[in-house]
Amino acid sequence: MSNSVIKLENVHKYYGKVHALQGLNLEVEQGEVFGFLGPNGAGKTTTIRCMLDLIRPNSGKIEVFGIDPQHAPLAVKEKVGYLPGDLKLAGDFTPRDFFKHLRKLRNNRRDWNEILKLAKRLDLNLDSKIKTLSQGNKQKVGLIQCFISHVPLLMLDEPTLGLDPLMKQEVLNIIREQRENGTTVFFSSHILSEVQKVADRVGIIRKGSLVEIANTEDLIGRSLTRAMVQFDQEVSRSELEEIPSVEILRVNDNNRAYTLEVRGEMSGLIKTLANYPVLDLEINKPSLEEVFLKYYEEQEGSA
Amino acid sequence: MFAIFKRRLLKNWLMILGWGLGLGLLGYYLFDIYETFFQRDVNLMEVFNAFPDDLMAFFGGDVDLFSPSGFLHLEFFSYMPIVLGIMVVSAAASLLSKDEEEGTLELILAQPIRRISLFSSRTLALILSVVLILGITWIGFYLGAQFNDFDLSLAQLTRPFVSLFAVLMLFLSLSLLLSMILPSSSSAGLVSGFLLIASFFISSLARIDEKLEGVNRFSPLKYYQGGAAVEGLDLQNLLLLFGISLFCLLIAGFLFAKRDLRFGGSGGFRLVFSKSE
Repeated sequence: MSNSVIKLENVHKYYGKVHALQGLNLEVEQGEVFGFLGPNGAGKTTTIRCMLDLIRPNSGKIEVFGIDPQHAPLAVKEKVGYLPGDLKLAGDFTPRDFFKHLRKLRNNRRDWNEILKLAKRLDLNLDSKIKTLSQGNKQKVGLIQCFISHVPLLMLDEPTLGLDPLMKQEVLNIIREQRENGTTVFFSSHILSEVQKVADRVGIIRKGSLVEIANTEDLIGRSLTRAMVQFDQEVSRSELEEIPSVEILRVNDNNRAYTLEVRGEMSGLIKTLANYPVLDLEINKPSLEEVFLKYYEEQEGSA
Repeated sequence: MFAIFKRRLLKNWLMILGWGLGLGLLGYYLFDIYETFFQRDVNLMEVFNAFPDDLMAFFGGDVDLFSPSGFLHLEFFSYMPIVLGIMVVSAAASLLSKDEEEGTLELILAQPIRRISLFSSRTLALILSVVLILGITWIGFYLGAQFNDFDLSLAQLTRPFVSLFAVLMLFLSLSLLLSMILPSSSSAGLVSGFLLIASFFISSLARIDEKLEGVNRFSPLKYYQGGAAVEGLDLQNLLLLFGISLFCLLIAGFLFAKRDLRFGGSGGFRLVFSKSE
């Protein structure tokens, strides 16, 4: 039996002539943190809005907890906490009034003490008018209303937007805590280092369709690794060229210093290096950012 | 959704008090003016009688300007559909669309509430706001009539307000409907305002020029009685206005429930008919 919390099959969405989602397929498992990556305009926000029935796809199938949001939007929204990417709040509220209002909309199912605790943790003043708050503080209001929902699924669209580095870290910690409590977190971002820190799996969306979906570590591991080796003696170029999945990028110091690119497993290279006196070895794993850019370069190249 | 209804009503309290007290005071002093100008100053009556019939017809129709009902119509109810109408049209056009365009509706609609609940709560709050404005105004009229020993029963005083409410309801619902169809709240307000003013002029001019009677049939203000309702309400006209209002509200509610939400100032006819693409 499938353990999917979110399931999208061949979803298409048009804005006039713009084909925003082009047959998007996606599955998110229960209890995972799923990072949804893509540059601006790739379709991340459109996907989330379709899942919440704020906009409707032109075709395709969407299920959230096995429920079609178009047929039973309330049942879906009961189970989802949402932070919009372009968060806009009514300015005449104070955060305190705003949370009280949202509590009423959720039949007072939100714990007020928890709201106070989170506000303290994120250093948010509850009694200033929202219109006077900075973008970062408005974002905190959005995050708190989302985190205190006590729902099994959180959809966070660019959750750290406008926050200072300390607060970003705190929000990532809260996301981890949510996962530990069994909450599934679906969050979109283009800040890849953050996704890398918390996401179990990532999906890369490009021009409205998913180009890659994988475990975060696998995705990084599957990609190219750069190795810089300094030998104590000359090493023949051909020796290194024979190692599977290794490409020589640069040779310096009379065949004593090599810059290599390794695709996938490192074991072949390590075994070969063991045969020579190695003075220094530096291995650079790519960040998710590099992987992401690589994907886009490859896709652009093949387009 | 009582929370949404209450919040919207509280948001309107300044508008309710401002308009209600202002118009109530105007109503109160109108009865003083009537005493001064019409019952004691016979020369002024002669001046008014000397005005061309067409001019008097444009402003008042076939009512007797020197009767309480004719006076109330000329001095208040003839132009109230325009004055209150512009307020109502602008409030209805932005009732949902403005928040949509500003993006504040996104988070609200992500909560477990039905779109139709949001629509009906806000619409009912606006309708109640209009009722409260008319109610406060009515109190001003009532006090004015009492202090000046005016011979108007409660029912006679109330009927023109019912007629005014009916025509305001029509423009409210029309504006709300247009805000669901047109690309933005400002365009809906503009078109509804234009229709309101056009309706005023067509209905007024049709009293002078019979050739306009054909067009006038489609003008909502043709079915508005104003001060003449003191003598009795035309139930057929009233039902027609309320019926069309209800129809517009139902269509507007249906469109709001079915169409894509607008985001960040986006909007267009395609949003209403997005399924057809």
